[in-house]
Amino acid sequence: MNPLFSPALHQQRHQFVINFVKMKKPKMVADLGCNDCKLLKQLKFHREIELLVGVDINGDVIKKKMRGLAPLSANYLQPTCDQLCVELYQGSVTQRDARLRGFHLVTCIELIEHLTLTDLDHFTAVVFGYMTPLSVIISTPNSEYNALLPGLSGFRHRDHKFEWNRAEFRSWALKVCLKYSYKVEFTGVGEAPLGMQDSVGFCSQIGVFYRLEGCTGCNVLPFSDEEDVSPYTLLYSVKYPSLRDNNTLRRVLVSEVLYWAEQLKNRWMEEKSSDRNYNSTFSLTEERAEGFNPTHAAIEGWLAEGMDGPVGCCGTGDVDKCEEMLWRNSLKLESGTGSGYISIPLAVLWSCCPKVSELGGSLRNLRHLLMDEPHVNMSQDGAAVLVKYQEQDEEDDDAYLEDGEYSEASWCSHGVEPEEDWETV
Amino acid sequence: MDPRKPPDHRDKASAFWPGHGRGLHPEELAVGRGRGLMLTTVGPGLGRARALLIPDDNLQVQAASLPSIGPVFARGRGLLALPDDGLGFGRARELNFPPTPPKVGLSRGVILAKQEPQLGPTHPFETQEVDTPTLGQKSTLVSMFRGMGVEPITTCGRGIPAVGRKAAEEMGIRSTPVGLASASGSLPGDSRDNSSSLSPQMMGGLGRGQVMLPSHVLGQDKPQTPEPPIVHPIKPQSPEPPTTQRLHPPLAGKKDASVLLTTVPPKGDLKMEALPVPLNKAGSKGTPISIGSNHIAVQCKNDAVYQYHVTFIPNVESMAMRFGMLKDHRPTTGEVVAFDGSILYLPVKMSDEVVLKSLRRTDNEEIEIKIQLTKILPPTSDLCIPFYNVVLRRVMKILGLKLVGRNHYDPESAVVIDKHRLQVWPGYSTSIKRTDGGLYLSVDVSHKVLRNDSVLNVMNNLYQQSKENFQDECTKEFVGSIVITRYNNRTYRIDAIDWNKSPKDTFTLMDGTKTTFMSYYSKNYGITIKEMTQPLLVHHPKERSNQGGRQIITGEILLVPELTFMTGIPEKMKKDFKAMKDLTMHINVSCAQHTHSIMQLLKNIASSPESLKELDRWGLEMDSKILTIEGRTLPPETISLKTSSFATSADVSWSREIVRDFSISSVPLNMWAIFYPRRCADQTEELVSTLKKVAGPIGVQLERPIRVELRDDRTDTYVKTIHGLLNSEPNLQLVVCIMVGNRDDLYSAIKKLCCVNSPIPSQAINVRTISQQQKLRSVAQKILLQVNSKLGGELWTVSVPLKNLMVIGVDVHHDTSKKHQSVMGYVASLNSSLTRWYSRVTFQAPTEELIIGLRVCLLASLQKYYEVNHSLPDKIVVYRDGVSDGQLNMVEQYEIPQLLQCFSTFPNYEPKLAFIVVQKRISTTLYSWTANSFGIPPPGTVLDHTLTQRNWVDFYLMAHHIRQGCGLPTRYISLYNTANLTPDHLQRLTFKMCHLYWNWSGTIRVPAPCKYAHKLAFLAGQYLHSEPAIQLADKLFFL
Repeated sequence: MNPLFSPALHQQRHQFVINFVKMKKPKMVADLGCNDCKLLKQLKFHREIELLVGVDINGDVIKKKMRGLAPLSANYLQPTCDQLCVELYQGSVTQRDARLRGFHLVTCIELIEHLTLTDLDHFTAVVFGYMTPLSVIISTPNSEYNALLPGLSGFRHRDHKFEWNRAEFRSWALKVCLKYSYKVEFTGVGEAPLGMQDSVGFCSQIGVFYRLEGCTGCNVLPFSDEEDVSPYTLLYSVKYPSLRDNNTLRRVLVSEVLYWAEQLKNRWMEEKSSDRNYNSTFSLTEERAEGFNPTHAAIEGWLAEGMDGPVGCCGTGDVDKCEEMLWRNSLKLESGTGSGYISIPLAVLWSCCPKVSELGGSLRNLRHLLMDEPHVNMSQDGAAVLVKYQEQDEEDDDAYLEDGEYSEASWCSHGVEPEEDWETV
Repeated sequence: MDPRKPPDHRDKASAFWPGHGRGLHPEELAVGRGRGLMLTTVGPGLGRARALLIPDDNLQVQAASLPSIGPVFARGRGLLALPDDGLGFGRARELNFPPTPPKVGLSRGVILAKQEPQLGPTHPFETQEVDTPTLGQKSTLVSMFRGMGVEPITTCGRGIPAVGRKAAEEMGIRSTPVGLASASGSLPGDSRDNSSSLSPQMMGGLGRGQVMLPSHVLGQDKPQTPEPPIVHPIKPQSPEPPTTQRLHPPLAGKKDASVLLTTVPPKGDLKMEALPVPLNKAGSKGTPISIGSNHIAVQCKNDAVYQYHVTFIPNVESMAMRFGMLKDHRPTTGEVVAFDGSILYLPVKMSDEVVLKSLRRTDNEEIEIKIQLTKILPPTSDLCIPFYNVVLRRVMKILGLKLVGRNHYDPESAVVIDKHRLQVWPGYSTSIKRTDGGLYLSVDVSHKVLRNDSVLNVMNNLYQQSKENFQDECTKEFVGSIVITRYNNRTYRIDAIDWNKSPKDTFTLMDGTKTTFMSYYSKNYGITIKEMTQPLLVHHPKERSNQGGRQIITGEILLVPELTFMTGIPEKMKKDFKAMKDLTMHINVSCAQHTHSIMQLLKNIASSPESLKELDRWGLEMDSKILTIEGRTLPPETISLKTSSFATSADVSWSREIVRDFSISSVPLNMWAIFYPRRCADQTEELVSTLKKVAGPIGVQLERPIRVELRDDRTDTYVKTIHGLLNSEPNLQLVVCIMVGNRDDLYSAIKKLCCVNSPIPSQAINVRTISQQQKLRSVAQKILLQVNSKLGGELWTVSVPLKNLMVIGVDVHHDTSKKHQSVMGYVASLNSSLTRWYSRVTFQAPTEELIIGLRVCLLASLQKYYEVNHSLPDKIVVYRDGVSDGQLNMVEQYEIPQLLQCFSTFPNYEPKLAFIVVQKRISTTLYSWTANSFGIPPPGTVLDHTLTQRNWVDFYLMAHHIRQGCGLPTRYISLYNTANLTPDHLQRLTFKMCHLYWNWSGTIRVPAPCKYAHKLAFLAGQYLHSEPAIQLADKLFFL
């Protein structure tokens, strides 16, 4: 059987929603009648969405696929700044639930035709009168197109309670707009063959409703007091890791800071060993005449001023050179602390590693984030990260060369055990 | 074999199979079980059967008085006869029988058939079957598993648990005195249903089941009823066979052959399939010890699982439609189903035959769905294990764990290793399996190492480091590694990098439209690819069919580096000892942590109602505690040096003792050379003088070496200088090289020179290891012992009370990048004290684990043995490493016959053979269990029950001493044993062999010959890339 539509009609409907999302960038999206979460699964990749909710009357069908909405491994490996929370509810669209109020977009893809006309009225009141989303996308079969569907008699699906033609849909939609202060645009997916487009219309007709500005609540029934109605059952809820979550941010930041601190230390040590002069003086904090040389005091100063970092101080000058000087001059061996640490000022990390500055937001914030982090060893004043400094001592070789305390093996003569002969068995 | 070959011919062929040397003779009947070899040239693939002779009830007594054979309780085992026409799914690949040697079947059974005419009543039926070309029932099963989300991993039939050999209902043959048992021996196929329709021969096997009919007629009542097949005519489902009939054998208890042709079984005839008699695998030597293992008992509340056959009339070809139609009848079948398109499993019993009706939506035709009960399985049946594992996967998902590869991980508890930009995700590798003790959930604590950076990030870093060799560096870094994608949780192995492609290139979607990678990811995942000039990564998927076996997925999959993350430990890091220490700290968990993690998982499951509900669907209930059982600790061994001997201590280490007394024998080192770069002159001098000091007590006679100082440490300089000296000093015994740093290229060059081109024992020493004064003495001792072994000296031994024994170790090295061939290392003992070894390697196609060159190696080593001892060994014990469960059958049917065939090269030579597979990578962990806490079990701990597999004689042995981490035992499976080695002997011999690895003065995880074979294969595969010179074959030059 040749597919009538390519891509398939249901994909076209979903693509319509996705295109809408791409264009309007709604932050809170609810899919009513989400079925097996197929649309949600596509929507979750559009990270402008921060809250994605699915509702279906059939909890079992949600449960079947809902775990596909869980974050992917990559979401943990490289969390982004975007936030996303996915929630799935079992519930009827004819019932009000406070958790569904105030969304930016509500989609009802091929939903209304499954409702009896009485339920449809409830649904209209709930969606447009109670949830009052900024926009609503409603798709439903266009019965005029049915003649073009081969082998179809009656409705397209057993469970359909009605299938409207364009005029019926239009009159319903306009009534809704009038009552609840929305405006509507009509469109659809699934084009009829050439020449019949006007006479038949789209296979699936779509109405896109927008709430009229300033009319919030003019025709809204006074539900606002009974905020706590929540008849829907929460089936699934998951929060994606995001850098806006402080724990995640701290984790990623610490990992970056420690990595770069280690890198800087290695670069410095390499340089130190290749440059004998450098090595002999050992006092890298010594004031150097040339260039920009942030002392601790200077860094303190920035911190106090809440400035965004030393790079800014360099003005529009040669940033690379500035950085170079910076890290080269300000790393120092903390000899006083005994076991040998290298101190790497935060400002250096800040300017050398774009990722660190990106994550930290501001130097002050960076210090704040790192201060009470047990994995990061900070200097007393919190202006520098301390990295353990070790001479190239390598030991503990491969297992073969291990040495240790061995309990003495008991020495004994031959034949403590009676000689065995397995052959006879 | 031509599937359409007339059946009679086949029957004759089998009946004429020569009685083979080692078959069971009547007088051996009482022995209980025998396995024999059969050499034959009949037919391209021959069968093998294993017969278990059990003298049992009074019936037998009667029979015993009869002249021919007594009652035989035979079990047929699957044969690997592979059809020439390649109809067999999956297995066909492995069947590269070389054309020349006669095909060998291995028989473990009795074949004494004379009375062919008695097969009479079954003939019409057989004809029908043999005419039936195979329809891969296996393939549909596979597709069912796939449909359920289980990826069948193995390629041979045994791999999928359900497809594995089911000993239970196989061929319970009790032959009548007339000698009808004969036919069972020629069983070319595994007669079990569901897994067997691999080849026409298999069908024959089913037919052969009829042979047992007479015994039924005699009215014997027994649990293992041979089940006559029933044929359901079904329209062809796959294009290959022109006419296909689905065989559905398992209707039990037919008393009359004529009934066979009807499809409706008499009511009340179906009985629960019985479990087979367990094999005798328990030893008794040693001290009992309470141990625990990472297993949790699983109870099955259901009485049974019911297997139905589903027929669609008229036939419905589309699998999806079949699934859909059956789904419409959930009210009848219940919500819990496992269905592969024709076989249906339910936890509930419906009436014997249910007829349902569905409308085909495409043409509104009414389809009749006939569901017939075919089998009642015990809930622990192998066939049920796959569903249980599907359930388990769901449970892991419900608990919020992420599937990466095959295991589940918890990214929320990730440990970040900052210095290396790695994350370690803790997780579990879980499976439900059935062992001798019943159903168990096996939980291993697993860790996944993932990189914080995308492949593109890593590429950029590489580019910073070396711009000239950038592409080579990338190939080195990425090819062979596993990546995970950003947009789904799938993992891919990188097989190549396509530098000519970029995200701007197009590919063709399933529906035929073309799109660029860029727009594909943008459209489907909202991902904007930033770097437009990156190359693409290539993955070649293994050829496999998708659902329904229709479409074969081939070709290549292209991945965008920016959208993929590396997993696993980076190669560079593996060489960094410190970094690895950081990492292993997190990965090597102690027994306490291990058991704690397992308990945590159990608690999580128990406190998740949704998980419990999921398990309950198939009636599964998990125990709340970790399995504790009784194991044994084998008695300590006595290590013998030249004149002294001593019992091993609790930590089975004897590094002190071996440097105090003379080794068994030492080769005097009169003429040797040491090469070193100038800057290592001091260390070299120190080493030489220390070597001299420590040589005396060990008994090594050591002269001063020729010292050769190199002007630089370039590879070329080393090679040329060594080569020059070898030419001028033909009597040189040993080359020692001091090297700076880890230099693979230099090491490889030296080894190539000294092992292949100018054969001479060689020792490479990293200057770092001899740079520490306080350790130099012990390092020098170890070097000297190693050098002595390489020259042919003998260090120590343990006594093995078997005379004229040869022990063989075999292992295969695979090149991870698949660039080079795989290498088999082969090591065989040459003397009674097991201190002289003969070694060979052979090369074979990449990734092939099964060994082709085994024959050549065995022959060579037998000849060498004869040279040394003037006799051939009476007993040969083979330890074969690196065989997974799925390959056991192949090894049994391919490698063992190869070995057996060799013996006939020598006149009147019939040694006893034991073939033991060694499995290191298993998920079983053992703990000691004392005072209500889990700890590390002592070396020598053996477990030979409860967790062992029902179909084999196997055991777990932990031979080595563990300082940190968990008790990881090695599993040993005795595939073949004509040497009369009892379980005790097998276990103790194995433990003894773990004492004999001369590079380590203690016990190791595997028998020494396996470790030697591994070392050899690694050297040849990683560094030499060719066979080492034959002159070195009788020395442990590869240590």
